[in-house]
Amino acid sequence: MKGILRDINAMVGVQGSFVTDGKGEVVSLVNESDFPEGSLKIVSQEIIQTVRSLRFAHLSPDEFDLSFGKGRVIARLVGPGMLVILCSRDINIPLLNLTAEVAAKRIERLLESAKESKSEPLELKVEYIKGLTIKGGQIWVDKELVRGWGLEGREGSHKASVRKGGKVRLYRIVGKKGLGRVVRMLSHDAKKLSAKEGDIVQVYA
Amino acid sequence: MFDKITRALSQLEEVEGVVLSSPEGMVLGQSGKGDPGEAAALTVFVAQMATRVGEALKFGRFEKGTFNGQGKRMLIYGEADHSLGLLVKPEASLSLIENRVEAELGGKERR
Repeated sequence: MKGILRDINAMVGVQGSFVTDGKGEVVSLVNESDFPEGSLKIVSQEIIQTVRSLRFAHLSPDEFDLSFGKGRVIARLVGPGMLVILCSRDINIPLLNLTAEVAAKRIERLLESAKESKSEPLELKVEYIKGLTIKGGQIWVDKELVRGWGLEGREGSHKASVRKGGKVRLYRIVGKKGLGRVVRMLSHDAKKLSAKEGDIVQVYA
Repeated sequence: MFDKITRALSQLEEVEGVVLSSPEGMVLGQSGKGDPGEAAALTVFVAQMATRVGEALKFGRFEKGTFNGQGKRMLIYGEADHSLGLLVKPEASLSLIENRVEAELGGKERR
């Protein structure tokens, strides 16, 4: 995303640009003019809070253009957040608008693909294939295994497959923060796999 | 005086409504379409946000701003003692309207 922001900042008159999430947190920033981070956070939160409030009033602003004595701020909706461009007052606005339009679309695509990749199966390497124990119809793993899979602290649901003998079953890994057991298998799935308590299975995630 | 300004601006073909409000959101003058109370609140709300943004960036005083969305476009002018909000047609040429606003507000009104 920084590459896209750098492209924006390459334009004469642009002093910095950043992307905020829907909570007003700065998620990516290229700060050519060294604006204090605290100031950018204030700007980010002010804009997002305003967007939220206006939505509450049944208005959905997707673009702001604010002119000041010594500068200009352009903000465009990208996904749940905003692309914010800080620039000089005398910037070529039609050119900036075109640049911002292209950049906003690129950022949206990037956010969209990031969102999709979160729901895609984890591509863990062969060395991460581990033996697991089934207890009471659920597959249990310990913290070390979770860490080995790179799932530690990663919340969400991920696709995985379990193989026992020649049978393979698809199921989901549920990642939760701070939990030692992150893999759960419903008892009927365990039954289909003919898995019994104490069996060792292999997981391919 | 305020009503005269808002009436003159609402005569512009691409302007649908005009409201002049105090910093507290009181309607000082209005003309054209829309609920003046709501338009005044919106104008002041955005002007206040812009003022805080300008202060944070040390960009100086907020002068004017636009926001677009849901087929609506609003042009907002910030002054020390009042804010001016114009609801304009989405396809409107802002530069023409801005010139007219500048002329109506006059040099002595603007700091």
